[in-house]
Amino acid sequence: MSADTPQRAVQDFQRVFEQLCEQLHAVIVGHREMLDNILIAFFAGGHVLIEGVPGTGKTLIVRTLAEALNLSFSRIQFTVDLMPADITGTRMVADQDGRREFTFVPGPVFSHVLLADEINRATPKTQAALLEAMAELQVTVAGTTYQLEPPFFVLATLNPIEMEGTYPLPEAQLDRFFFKVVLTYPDHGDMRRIIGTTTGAGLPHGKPIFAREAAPARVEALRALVRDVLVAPHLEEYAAAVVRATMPADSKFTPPGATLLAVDESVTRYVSFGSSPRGGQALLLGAKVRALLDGRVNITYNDIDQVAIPALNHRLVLNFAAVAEGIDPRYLVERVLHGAKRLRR
Amino acid sequence: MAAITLGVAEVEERLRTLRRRLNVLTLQHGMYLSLSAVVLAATLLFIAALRVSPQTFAVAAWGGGVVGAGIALGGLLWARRRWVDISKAALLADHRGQLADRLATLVDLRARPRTARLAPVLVGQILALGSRWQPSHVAPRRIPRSLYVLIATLLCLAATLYLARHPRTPSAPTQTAPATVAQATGVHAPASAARQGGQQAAPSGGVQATAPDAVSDSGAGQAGAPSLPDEREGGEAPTRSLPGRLQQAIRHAFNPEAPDDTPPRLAQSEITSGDSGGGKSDRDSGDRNRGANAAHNEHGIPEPESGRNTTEQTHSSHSPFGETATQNRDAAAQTFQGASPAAGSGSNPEGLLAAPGGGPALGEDGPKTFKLTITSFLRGAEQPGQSPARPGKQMSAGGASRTAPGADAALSDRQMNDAALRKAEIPAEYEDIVRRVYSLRADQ
Repeated sequence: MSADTPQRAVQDFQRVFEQLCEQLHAVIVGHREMLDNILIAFFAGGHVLIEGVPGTGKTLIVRTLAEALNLSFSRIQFTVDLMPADITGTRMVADQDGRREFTFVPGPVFSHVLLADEINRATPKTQAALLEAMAELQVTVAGTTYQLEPPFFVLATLNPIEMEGTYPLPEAQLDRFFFKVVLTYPDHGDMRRIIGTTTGAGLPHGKPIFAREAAPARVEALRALVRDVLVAPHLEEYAAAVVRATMPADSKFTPPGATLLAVDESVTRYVSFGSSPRGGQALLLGAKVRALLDGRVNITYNDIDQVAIPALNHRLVLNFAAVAEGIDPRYLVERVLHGAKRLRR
Repeated sequence: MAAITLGVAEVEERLRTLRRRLNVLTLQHGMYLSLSAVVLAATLLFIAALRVSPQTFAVAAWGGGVVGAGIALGGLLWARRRWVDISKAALLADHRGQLADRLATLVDLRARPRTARLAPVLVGQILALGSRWQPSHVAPRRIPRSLYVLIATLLCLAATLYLARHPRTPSAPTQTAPATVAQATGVHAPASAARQGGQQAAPSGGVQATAPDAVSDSGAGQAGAPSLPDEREGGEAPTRSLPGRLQQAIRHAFNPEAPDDTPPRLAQSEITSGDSGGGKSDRDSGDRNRGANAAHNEHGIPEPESGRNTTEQTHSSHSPFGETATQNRDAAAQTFQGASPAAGSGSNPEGLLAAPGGGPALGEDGPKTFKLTITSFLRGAEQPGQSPARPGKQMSAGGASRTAPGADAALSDRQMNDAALRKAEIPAEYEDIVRRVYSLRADQ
């Protein structure tokens, strides 16, 4: 079911997204906004970092998404003793026609959808093994580079409770996640539905909306459509100004020169490092998906604002004062967006 | 592809129409506001030309010029800032038509051609939403509201011109006479009369030079003012400068008969003026009067309206002096009651004149001046030990004077003995005025 005309492609994108939402909501109770953000990041070609307490359905979300898209799915439970080869794969000696040769055995990273559960429990060396795969869609083992088959989607989880013996993700790795979403406990109504639906005889499962063979191509086509969405120059300026406004004014890494948007005082006070250009890319790509979901082929200010918090909050490196005062980076992003309203024309 | 091109052309054509409409509106707005400022400035200049001194007018004119230039420059900058190009027109249409930046995106796509697979979808959506961004919808007004401002300022200007051309005639012109002569001769007339005269004179274009309020701001245009001779003799600069010429031109426009440096309002003169040439003897007598008045000014005595205006009034052809004199005499007769100050023969004001009955004899062939023989009250001063009877004293019916409190302060001895007061040849038109004043009681 391909879309031969642009108009039909847009309509197809909307329909696929709606079907995915239906499948996910059939299994996952609540968390509608979080699920939307995960799907937006998926179609934008990014990866998602989920921070949430245990038992809120993180693994179930990824598994359901993979089932609905009919894509291959892998899960890695990160532990302290997890080695990089456990992720990327390793070369093993194999007997072939009477000859012993090293053969590459792909790791779990060679899948379309990868769940990296509690990624902060692995050592930085192991965590870094994911960097190349996430950014370059390739892994290098023993000097040999192996390409990952697109689409490749990593959904990592962070457990914010048990911090002892964990290795917080370095900023470079955090920056490679397209969105960071926070999974909260469900409210009373959702809680009742969760315990009702998951304790019955038949557990709900997502139904694939694509054929297995055609699924990767369909997903790639939809991702390409996202990149075709048009952006007006003043919206590019707006996104750049928002990203620039997350940089503290007194940092030596902040570029000199006048800015369209004055840096908020709270940003200068609590932020050590602002967002990287990847934050701006995430803003525009996420806004493009939002525009397509709305049936438009161009983005607006509201599209950018709606994805600003998940796109930027994990890219702000807060200083000690912010940690001591319990400042949430989402609050700082909201301050930036509030100041950016005057840029709207 | 042809359909897409056609659609884009249609969108661009409509955007051009919208841009043209917005720019015309901006131009009209700027033009109306600038014109309003100019008209307002012109109105104020007209008023200033008729009311203030040349020096003040020069300051006002140059200031107005600078402000006008500033307004014009500001208007240009404003129009430039508000000038709308295609991209701005698209942004405006997006905003007002709630098109979610579709037009701006398409315009940018045309400005920076690149591969855009979704462009046809964008054009189709824009055309589908065409009713939202019709030029008449985005810019509903063809004429800006600033036109009303211009109309209001034009009405102000028209009203100013009308009032200047048709000064309101005072309802009781004779009531201003006491204040006039009181100012002229130093007699303390009732303050209410002076205020009344001022209130009546000011709105009429300031013709009533007799009113203190009107005279006070007339500056050099005031007849007999000390600055006037200076300006005539050596101070040619104000009249030869651009503002001076402008002021004279305005004054001439409103009163062609008026002298160059005399505001038209000073002359009530449209009623009586007709012979602007005057005679040499008249001018001389006016100058003499001015000289005498100047002498009075040294003693702080307000001076009567004199100079060419008075002589011109004598030669009035449009309004024969006889009629005016008769009216004034009638008014004087109405105000004359009982005892008069120690002037003339008892309570008979006829004694004021050297030539008895000169009033009725005044006409075109009559005497141009009359001799003021106010000697009776001065005679008292010549008697040692007695203070002279003077205006401001309440006189009894038998001529005995009773000094009113503060009356001594009215005229000093030096002023009382001033020969100019006694010897001056006073223009004939003052006959009625002087007669009335000296027939007034102090409480009037």
